[in-house]
Amino acid sequence: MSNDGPTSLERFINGILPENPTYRQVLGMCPTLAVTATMKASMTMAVSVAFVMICSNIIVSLIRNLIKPHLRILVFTLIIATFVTIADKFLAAFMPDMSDQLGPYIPLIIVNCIIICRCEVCAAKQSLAPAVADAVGQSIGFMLGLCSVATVRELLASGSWFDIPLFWKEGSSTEWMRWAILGLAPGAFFTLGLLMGVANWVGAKFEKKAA
Amino acid sequence: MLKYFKQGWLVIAISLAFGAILAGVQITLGPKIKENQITKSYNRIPLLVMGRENVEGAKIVIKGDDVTVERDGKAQAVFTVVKPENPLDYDVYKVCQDGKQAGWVILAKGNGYADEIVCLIGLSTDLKTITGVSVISQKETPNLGSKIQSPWINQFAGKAANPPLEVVKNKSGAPDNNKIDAISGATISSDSLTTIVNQAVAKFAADVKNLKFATAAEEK
Repeated sequence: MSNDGPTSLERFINGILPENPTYRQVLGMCPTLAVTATMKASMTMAVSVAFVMICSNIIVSLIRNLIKPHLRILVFTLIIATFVTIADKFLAAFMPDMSDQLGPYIPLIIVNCIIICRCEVCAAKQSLAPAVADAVGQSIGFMLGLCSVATVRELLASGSWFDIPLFWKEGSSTEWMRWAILGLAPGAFFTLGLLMGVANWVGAKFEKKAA
Repeated sequence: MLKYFKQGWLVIAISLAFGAILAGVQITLGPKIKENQITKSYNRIPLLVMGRENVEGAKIVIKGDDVTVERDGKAQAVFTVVKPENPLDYDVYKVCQDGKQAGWVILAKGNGYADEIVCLIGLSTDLKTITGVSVISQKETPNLGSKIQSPWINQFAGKAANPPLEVVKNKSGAPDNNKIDAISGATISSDSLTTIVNQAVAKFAADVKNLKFATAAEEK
C-alpha cells in the first residue's frame, strides 16, 4: 500500500545527481552560502544534515500511518528539531571549535528545506527502506553540493583546502594573491551561481545524449 | 475536548518522548559542554601570564583549577587559578604560581565590526602592564577582521595599561608603548578590539578593590 513510488535504489541514485538538492532542487541555500567558506565547516555541516535527515526519515517513515495530514508539518518539525538539538549538543561537547565556527547555522538545520521536503515527499509515504535510501542519497548529494562550492571558495580565497595550505606558500614568490571576496558573502553567491550554471550545462549535455 | 485529544495525541506523545530524550542528552553532555567552556579560557592562561614565546610548543594540562605547562612530559610551570568569592558579571581569574600571585586574567566582551568579540586579557599583578590578549571568539570578516586572532595580537603583550591604547595605521610595527598597529583593511575590527581591551582594563582597575579571594591559595 505504501510501497508504490520509486524503489530504494532509485531514491538513492536520484538524490546524488539527478535530484541533487543544491543544484537541481535549489534547496538548503542558506547553509550552502553561509558555511562554504572552508571545507572543514562544510563537511561538518554535511555530516550533521546527514545525521538529522537519516534519523528523521526513519522516525517519520515508522509512524507515517499515525500522522494526521493536517498536523504533519508540526510532527515533522518536532522530530527534526529534536535531532538537530542532539547534533548541536554533540558538536558543542566533542567539537567545540567547529561548533563556535558554525555558530547559529547548526540550529538553523531545523529549517533546512531539504530535510522537511524529504520527510514530506518520501518518508511520509513510503516504508523504511526507500526512506533511508532517499535520506542517504540526498545527504550525499548535499555533501557534493557543499563541497563543490567550498572547494572553489577556499582554494581561491585562502589558498588552502581543508586548512592545508597548498603549493602557494605564504611569503614566497608564488604566494596566491587571495581573492578575499570569495570568502565573503558576495563570493558565495558568485560561486554558487556560476557552479549552478556549469551544472545546468552539464545536465543539458547529458539529456541531449540520452535523447 | 476528547475529539481534540484524538487529533493531537500523537503530537503530545512525541513531544513527551522527545522531551525526555533531550533531557537525557542534556544531562549526559551538559557537564562536558561546560567543561569545554572553562577549558577554552584556562588553556590560554599560561600564554597570557607567561608570554607566548615561553608557551610555544608546550602541552597544557588542566586538572580542576590547576593549569600545568608541560614540555617533554615534565612540568615547567604550574598555575593555580583562583576565582573571586564575590564574582563580577565577567570572569576574573587570579593566577597564582608557587603560592604567589603571578598575574590576573579577565574576560572581556564587546562589539566588533560584525558581531561580539570575546577575549581574555592578561594583566600583571600590579595592573600596570598588559601581559597578553587572546581572542576567544569573533565573527569578523574572514581573512580581514579575523586577523585579530592571528599573531597580530602579540603586539598587545607588554604594553602599559595606562594610558589607554591607541590604534594607528603606520607600517612601522607600532614601536611606541601605547600604540597598536591596525590591520590593513580591518580598521574597525582593530579599533573595536583595542577599545574592548581599554575599557575592560579600566573597569577592572576600579573593580579589583571590591574583590575578595579565599586566602588559602596564598598561604600555600
